[in-house]
Amino acid sequence: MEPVISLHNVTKRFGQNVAVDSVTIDVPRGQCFAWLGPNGCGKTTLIRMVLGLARASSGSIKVRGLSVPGETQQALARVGAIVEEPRFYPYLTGQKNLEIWAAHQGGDARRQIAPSLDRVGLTSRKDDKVGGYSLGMRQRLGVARALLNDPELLVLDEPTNGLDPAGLQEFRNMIKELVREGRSVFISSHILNEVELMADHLAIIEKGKMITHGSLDDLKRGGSHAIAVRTDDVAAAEPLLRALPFALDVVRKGTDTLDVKVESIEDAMLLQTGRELFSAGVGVIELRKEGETLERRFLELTGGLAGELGGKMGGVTPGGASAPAPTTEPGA
Amino acid sequence: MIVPLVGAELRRIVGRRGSFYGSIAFAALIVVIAILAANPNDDDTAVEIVAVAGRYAGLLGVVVMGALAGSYDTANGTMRYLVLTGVPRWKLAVVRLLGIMLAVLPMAVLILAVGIAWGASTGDLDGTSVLDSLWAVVITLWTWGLVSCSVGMLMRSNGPAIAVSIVLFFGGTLITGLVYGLISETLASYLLPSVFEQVASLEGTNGDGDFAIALGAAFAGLVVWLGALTALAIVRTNRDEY
Repeated sequence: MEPVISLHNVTKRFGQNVAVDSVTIDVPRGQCFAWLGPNGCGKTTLIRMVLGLARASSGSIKVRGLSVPGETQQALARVGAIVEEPRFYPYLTGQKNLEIWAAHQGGDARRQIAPSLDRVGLTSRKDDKVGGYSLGMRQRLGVARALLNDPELLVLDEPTNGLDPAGLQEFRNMIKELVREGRSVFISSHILNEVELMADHLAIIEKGKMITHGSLDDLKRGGSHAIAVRTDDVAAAEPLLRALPFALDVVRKGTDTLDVKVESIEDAMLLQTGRELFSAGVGVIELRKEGETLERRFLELTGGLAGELGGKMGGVTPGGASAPAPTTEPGA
Repeated sequence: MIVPLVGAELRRIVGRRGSFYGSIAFAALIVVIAILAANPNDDDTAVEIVAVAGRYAGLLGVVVMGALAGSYDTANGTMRYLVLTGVPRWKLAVVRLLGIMLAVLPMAVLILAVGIAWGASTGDLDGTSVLDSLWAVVITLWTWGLVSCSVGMLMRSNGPAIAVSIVLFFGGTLITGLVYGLISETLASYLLPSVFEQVASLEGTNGDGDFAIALGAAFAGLVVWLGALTALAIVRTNRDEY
C-alpha cells in the first residue's frame, strides 16, 4: 500500500542551524503514527514542511502520493491538521469559526460542521465565543476543524496539550476511532506515555535527526531486557548473577542494584535468580523485570534525552539510563 | 468560489467590532461636528462639506481596518489554517483586498446619507455635487483601505501595520510637500498623496486645484501606486512560511 506520507532526505536549515536533518521515512496508511521527541527537536518544522507551510531546504515530500510543494492543493484536499496551536478568531463563536473554514474548503465541509462539533463534544458550546474557550476546548475545536474535509490523513501537532485526564482519555479514544474508520493519523508529541497508548508506529527524533522508527512492538522488542536485582550484598551477588545461564551481562545500577541483561525475560528466570541468591545466603530486597517499555527503549536510544521531556517520564530517571546506542537504526 | 471567501473575509472584518464599528462611529462623529460647525455656501454644498469631513475621518478608521485585515491572520496564527484549506495564497491575499473594499462601503453610505439628508433639509442639493462627493468618498476609502491592507500583509503584525499605514498617510503628505517645494513640482504630482487627491477631486490641469499633471496621468499614477503595493503584498503572502 502506498504510504500516506513519504519523506526522502528532507532537510530544513535556518541559516547555520539544521532544524530537520535528512529525514527519510514512509508513514503507513490507516495507522496512528507518532513523531516523538523533545521540544525544539524539529517536530513542528517537519510538520510544517509536510503541509506545505514551509519549504524544505532539500529533499522531497509526498503526501497521499502527491508532491509537496507542487501539488499541495490536491495533496491537502483531504488532510486535516493542527499545527503548533489550534488558532481561531477569538471574537467569533465556535460555529462561526468553523463556517469560515468551511467556506474556504468548499464542497461538503459546511454539512460536516454539526457532526464534527458533536464528535468533539462541543455542540453545547458552539454559540460561545472562542475567546472564552479553555485550551482544551480549543484543541477539540481544532480537531473539529480538521475533520471538516473528511480527511484521509490527520496531522496533529502536540494535540493533547491542555487536555485534562478525562479529556486525554476521550482524545485517545477518538484517535483510535478515527484509525478504525480507515483514516491515517500523524501526531507529534513529547510525551512518551501518551504515544505508547495511541500509536501503532513511531519515529524518534533528536536534534532534527531521526534516530529510529518502526512499529511500537518492534521498537520495544528491539531494546534490551533485564532483571533488576536489589540486594543487600552487591559484591557477593554479582558473580552469582554472571554465572546464570541466561545472563548476557551484569551491570551495576546504583549502590544496591544490579541489572542482569537477558535476551528476553521469562518468569522462570526470576525464580532461578532468586533461588541462586537465596541458596548462597545473599539477601534479596527486590526482583523485577525491566524492559519492553517505550520509556526504556527511548532512554537507550537517546542516552537520557528523556530527561528533557518535562518530567513526563513517570518514575524513570535519566541518570539510570544505559549507554546510548552507538549507531542509528535503519528502522524496523 | 471567490464569493464565499469574500463573505468569510467580511465576517472577519465586521467581527472585529472595535475597528469596524469604531471607524464608522468616528466618521459619524466628525460629520456631525462638521454639520454643527460649517455653513453651506456657493463654493461648498452641504453634501461636499460632509463628504470632506467624512472621508478624512473615515480614512483614519479605514487605515486601522485595512491594516488589521492585512496582518491579522498572520499575527494571530490563523493564516496557516487558511493556507491548509488548499485555497491558493494569492487568492487569500486578493480576497482580503476585495473584502476591505466592500467593508468600507457602509461607512461611505453613512457619510453620503447624512450629507444628502442635510442638503435636502437646507434645500442645497444637486446631482453633480452628490456624484462628485460619492466618488471622492469611495475613492478615498478604497485607496487607503487598499494601501493599509497591503501594508498589513507586508508587515504581518497588527500594531506596526497600523502605525506604518498612518505614518504613510501623514508622512506621505509631508514628503510630497517637500518634494514639491524643494525638488520638482512634476515629480511631487506623481507621488501617491498628489495623484490620490487629484483623482478624488476629478480635476485636471485646468481646474482650480493647481494640479500639474493631466487627470489621466493622475489616474495612471494612482493605479501604478496601488498596483505596486498590492502586488508586493500578494507576492509576500505567496512566498511567506506560516
